[in-house]
Amino acid sequence: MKILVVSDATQFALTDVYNGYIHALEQLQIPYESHPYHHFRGICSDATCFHRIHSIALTKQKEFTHIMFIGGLNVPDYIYDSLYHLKSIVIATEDPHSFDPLRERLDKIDYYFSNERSVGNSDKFKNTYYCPTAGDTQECGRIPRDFLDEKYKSDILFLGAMYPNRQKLLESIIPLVKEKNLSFKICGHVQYIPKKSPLWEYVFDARTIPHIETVKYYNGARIALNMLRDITWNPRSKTGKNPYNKGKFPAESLNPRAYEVPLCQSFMLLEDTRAEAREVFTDKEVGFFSDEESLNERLRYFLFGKGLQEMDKMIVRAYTKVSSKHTYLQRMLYIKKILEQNQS
Amino acid sequence: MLQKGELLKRDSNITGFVVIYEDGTKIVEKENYFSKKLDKKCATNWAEIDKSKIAYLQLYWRGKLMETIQKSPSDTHSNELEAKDWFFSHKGYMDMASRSVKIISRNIGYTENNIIHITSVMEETGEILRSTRVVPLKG
Repeated sequence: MKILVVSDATQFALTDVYNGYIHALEQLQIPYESHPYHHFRGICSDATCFHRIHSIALTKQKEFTHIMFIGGLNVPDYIYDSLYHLKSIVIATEDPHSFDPLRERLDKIDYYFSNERSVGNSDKFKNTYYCPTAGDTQECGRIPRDFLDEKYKSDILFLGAMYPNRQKLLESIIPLVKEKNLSFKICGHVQYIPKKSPLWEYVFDARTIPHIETVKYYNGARIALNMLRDITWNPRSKTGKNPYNKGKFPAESLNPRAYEVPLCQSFMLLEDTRAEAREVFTDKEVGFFSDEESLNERLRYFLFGKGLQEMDKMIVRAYTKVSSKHTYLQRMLYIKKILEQNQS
Repeated sequence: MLQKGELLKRDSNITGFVVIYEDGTKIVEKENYFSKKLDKKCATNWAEIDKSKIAYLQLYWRGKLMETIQKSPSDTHSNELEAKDWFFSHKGYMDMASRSVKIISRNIGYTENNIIHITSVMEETGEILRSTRVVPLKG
């Protein structure tokens, strides 16, 4: 087995997912050649990137057995059609709202690993598997406090895109933040926040946060909030509704942040509105909230109540679980098993 | 007379690992140790430890117990640990001014499913850092 690993050249390809799988391939000593096209964004067009991949796969015909795309949304059809000598693998990095564009192309893909359980385990597709998102122990970890700049420290941190459901939840904690004079930081894609929202006061770092800094922000937070995105909302459509999500596949699975925060040995308050939240974690490992009321109650409990004494042990339990069961190494082992089972 | 398992007074403020054998014998980490087994001076006495007898592996920092790993299944591991599963190491550097080894962190851990789970204690601050590493494959 030798794998040609390619990151999708679109903005959806996640650097940390790509790095996680590369590290896993190295650790498992599976031969691979990597092409991180997410680094070429803005320099080359998608077409140039994929032409190059096509050439490599054709000119090194006997060298590879599989071509593995991390992301895979924008891979042109001709790649799947013409590289018949290679088995194609797509590892999805998106929620199911982006699955619909790929659904019609599933017959061209040999192995589609969805990070959404309701999609991956669906009986409708023979070549679709469920491979949850994960964390990478080489990318995420504890940083000694002496090495952490003040700018990364906070009492409450939210890092991510400002979807409407998240705005509503975050606005609800402003009275608590003011009452207790807490350091509350919002980082990431804030362009979706309405102009008059009181959340602007707490926007600290408004940009796409590089992964290395994400780890620093998680390390510096007393509580990192993890709110799952609203998959019915799409910022790119005029109506705000997501044209890709027809509601056939419920969102059940967790985001990468759910695994990255515990690997950074930081405390996570996790929204439990998706089925997997309480299946993957227990309340001995992370704090849970469902709505504005429970979010405020849990914040008070962990920052000022009895939870203060429980947090250190919870952090260790969550870290132990994620580092032993939910890393890209475990995911790659699963993928390898599937590929080997189907080898003719 | 010192009883089995009892630490000497000089060890009460220890920074380093302590091994407890199944029969209760305690072995305290010693630095710059002359190993009779290897017939040479070693960074510590860990070459002298019989890993097959370990029941508990502890890490102390300035007399404070920071981490305990036990042989029998626990919250952290589901199988009984074997001799090959125990891990201890130092991270440090040679200080050329004093010509001595300066330790940055001390690490203990265990292996489960080919992953080494390591707990490190920073020598200066006592901060605990946890990490994992894959057991290198042979061949």
